[in-house]
Amino acid sequence: MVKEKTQHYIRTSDLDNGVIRVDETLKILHYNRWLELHTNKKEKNLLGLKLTDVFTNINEKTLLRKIKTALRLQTPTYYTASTSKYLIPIKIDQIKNSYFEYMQQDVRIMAAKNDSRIVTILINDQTIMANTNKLLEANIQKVKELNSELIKEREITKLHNEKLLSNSRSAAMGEMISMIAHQWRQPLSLINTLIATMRIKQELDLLDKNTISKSFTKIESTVNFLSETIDDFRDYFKPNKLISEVTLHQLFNKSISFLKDEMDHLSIKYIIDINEDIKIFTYKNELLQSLINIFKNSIDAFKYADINDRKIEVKVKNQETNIIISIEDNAGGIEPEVLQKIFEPYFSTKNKNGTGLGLYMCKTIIEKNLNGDINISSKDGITQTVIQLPKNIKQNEE
Amino acid sequence: MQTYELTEDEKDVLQELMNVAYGNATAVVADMLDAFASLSIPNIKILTVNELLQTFKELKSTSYFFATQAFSGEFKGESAFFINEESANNLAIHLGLENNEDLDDAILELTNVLTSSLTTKLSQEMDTEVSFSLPSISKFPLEDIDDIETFQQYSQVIVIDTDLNFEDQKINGKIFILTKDESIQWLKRKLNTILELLI
Repeated sequence: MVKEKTQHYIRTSDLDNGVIRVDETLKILHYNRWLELHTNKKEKNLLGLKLTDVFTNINEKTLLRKIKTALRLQTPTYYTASTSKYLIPIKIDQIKNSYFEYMQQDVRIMAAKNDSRIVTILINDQTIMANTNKLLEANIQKVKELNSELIKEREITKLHNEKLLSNSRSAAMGEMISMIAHQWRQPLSLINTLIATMRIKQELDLLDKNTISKSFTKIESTVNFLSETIDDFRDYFKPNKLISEVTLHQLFNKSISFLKDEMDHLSIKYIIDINEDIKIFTYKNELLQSLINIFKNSIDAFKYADINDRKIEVKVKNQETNIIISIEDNAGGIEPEVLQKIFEPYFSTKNKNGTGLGLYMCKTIIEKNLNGDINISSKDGITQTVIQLPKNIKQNEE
Repeated sequence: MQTYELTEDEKDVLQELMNVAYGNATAVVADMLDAFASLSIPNIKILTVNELLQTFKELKSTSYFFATQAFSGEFKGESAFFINEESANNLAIHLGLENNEDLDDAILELTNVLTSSLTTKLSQEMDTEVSFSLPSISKFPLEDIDDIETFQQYSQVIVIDTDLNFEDQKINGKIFILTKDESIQWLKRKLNTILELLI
């Protein structure tokens, strides 16, 4: 019997637990009704028998050690279901799915208050809890597996993005070569004409010193122009990771100068409304590359549009900590379904001529490197690109 | 959040009480394992949870068995017992254990013996009673200790930290007795009552 402090007795047959009383030699002194029902063994047949002879699965050495410790400490010792599974083998007959063949038990070994040689072993059914734990463990395992898959996927995406950026750099390089070709076509043809003229005059014996001198001067100045063009491109396209003060007006003029020939050829008017004093601290070359990319897109759009009054209009708003750049073209606008995907990598409407990386690169540069924001909208044949940039990227980074 | 500190006098009394409790615990553990055991003089301090987690990290071993056991009553809290893999293996050899589950069980037993002998004796000295929950065990790399939510519910903890040594068997472990704010307050009141009786 389990005895309470108040000296009242609880009948162990009323308990929903197994109760065994044994002495320090493991002789059974009491075996309650719950255990009788669960093990199909009667108390009257067990009294006086050694517990480990009745249940041979029990490690006698361990049990004796726990009993001795409980008696010595006068506080309980334990078997836990999570490590020891069970003490008394009780088969589970439930139809319900279970991970376990035997009832999982938490066992508490308590010294009797009035006898220093006797302990009460209290058995608690923990099968439901153990099943839940097992299920949880299986789910945790599943989550861990999914998580590691996710990490792998993320790595792949990262590599993919790095590759995209590297591809977009190659694409920018290609654009640059095509722009240099545009810029060089006219001066080269001028040099060619000058040389051809001199050659003809030489054959006709009409080449005088004055003509030679004039031609050389023209050739020299044209070669200088070619050289400057190369320097400009080199300066603006070499990876320059320094933050510098940029006068926006100059930066726009520079970007337009790279594209001027093509714009003139397509009769595109360039209108800029900007306070010439606006300066920002940022990565100059990266911003220039992005602006050129946006202008280039507008120019390309005009190639396929039958529009008379062609123009690209730039406005810059000066705010307290930011500047807002708006670039508008009237090249016919963009279809909503195209607009949705416009910043996706490898998305292009230009068939073979487009890499689909230009605007993807712009967004990456503006948002990740320049701490800014870019949005493109289109209405009534007009496309507007709005870029917001911090005036001082350093302050923003801090 | 209120912060608590133990005065020098309070620390002295607690140290004395702990010495008695540790004498008792050492004897029980030695008896249970049939080996000569020694417990280092306990180091008592009040720490924030972050400081406590840092202390755990400083144990700096890749793999630890870690068992906890809650105790309740007027003086309530949780004990945390750390034993590294090598010590755990030596314990298994000493006890002639056959498998990992037996080893887990032995570590839980050791945790239970240390927790109950320490806190029972301490609570007896302070004229109160404690009851114990089942201990539980986990094995994890120490870097993950921040994730153990059980510690996060404490704001400040009294840490009673000691090393358990079985020299011949090369087994050593570390036990922390952790109590929450209200038990710290209770403990301070109790220590002061004992102090007044001594004067």
